[in-house]
Amino acid sequence: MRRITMWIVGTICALALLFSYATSRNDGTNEQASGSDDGGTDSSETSSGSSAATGTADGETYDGDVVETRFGDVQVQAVIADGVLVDVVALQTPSGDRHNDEINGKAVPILRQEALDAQSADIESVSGATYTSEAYSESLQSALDAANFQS
Amino acid sequence: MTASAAAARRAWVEAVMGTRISLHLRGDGLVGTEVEQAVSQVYAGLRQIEAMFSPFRADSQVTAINSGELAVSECDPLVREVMDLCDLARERTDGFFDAAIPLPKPRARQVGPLFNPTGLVKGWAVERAARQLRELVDHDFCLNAGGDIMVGGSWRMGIEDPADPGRLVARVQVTDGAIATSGTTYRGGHVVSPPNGVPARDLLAATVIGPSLTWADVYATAAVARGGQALRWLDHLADYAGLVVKSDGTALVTSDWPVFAG
Repeated sequence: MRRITMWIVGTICALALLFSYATSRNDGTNEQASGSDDGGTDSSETSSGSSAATGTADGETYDGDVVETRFGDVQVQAVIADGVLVDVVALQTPSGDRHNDEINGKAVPILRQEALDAQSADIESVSGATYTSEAYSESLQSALDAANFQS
Repeated sequence: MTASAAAARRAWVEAVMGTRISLHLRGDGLVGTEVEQAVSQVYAGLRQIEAMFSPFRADSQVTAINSGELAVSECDPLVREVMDLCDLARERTDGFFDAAIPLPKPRARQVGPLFNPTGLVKGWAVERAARQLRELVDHDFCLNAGGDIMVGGSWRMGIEDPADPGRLVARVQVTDGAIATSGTTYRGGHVVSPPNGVPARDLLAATVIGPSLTWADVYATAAVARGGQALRWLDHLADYAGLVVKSDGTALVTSDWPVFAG
């Protein structure tokens, strides 16, 4: 159980950082380059420990500490079942941002990266639900293929 | 270890199995008869599999088995291999992957559950082709069959956002292994939950990474069919990690999903 708690602490800390990234991305200043990755880049936020778990019918919830970010206080609640993170809920979000109000009460997007197309995200191939041959030309993969054909 | 930003790269694309299959090679010597022959052989092998397995071809073995013209005991060993894999896949996914379901367009005179291995054959065929490509010791490869991918070497993968196909929901590094994505579209569920026949709705998509594309594909398909409990189930799989996109567009990952270092 201690190992799960340690992992949860780390996860909640990472989630708080990711959440602050997600909200900062939508504050209208367009400051991010699409090549940045999630987590660990804003080193000023810290979190330590998680409070005791409370049981629910679907699993246990763990409230992370309130993390101070430059956009305000963030607190996430992780829902753990069988040692697996099954959901994340935002308990406190920075105020004053219209987008944050939309996020309130919904699961925090853990991974949400901004990329207009495959090449700007500096990736080499794309995985998605299978496209038909007819739909191929609209796929991100087709752009990557075309960029690497040789005459 | 190849510095992937500096290494030369070349792509080929052909239409096979109802989708486009892209092959990218990294390394030196990407022009010339040797590499062209290797690439040709890969696509030829994929076409042979398609000819043998497609339930949409009148002359395939799968069609013949389903119409009763060909006994299972007489079919090609590869067909037997796929049948056994389909049985194993049904067991491992608690029936959420099941090859014995009706075809989208049932043919006349066919009664009862039909053998439709298409959900497994594509990943399995690509994995077989990847074994050939591994013999190209000087090249890294990335073989992408419409979104289900097998690689040799380390490659930066984007995962398409099912709610917005022009964007990515995540990036992940895949090394000497597989990544497969299964999904429904916003037009409605294309993946049916076999145990109860109800179209899957909880998840827009699931992506699985691991050593085998055959199994990554099966597990991703089963995850979408399973729906809300899929993440918990994926987390229990040894050697495979998963990402699911819920119907509200948010993404969740299993505890062993790697952090993308860029």
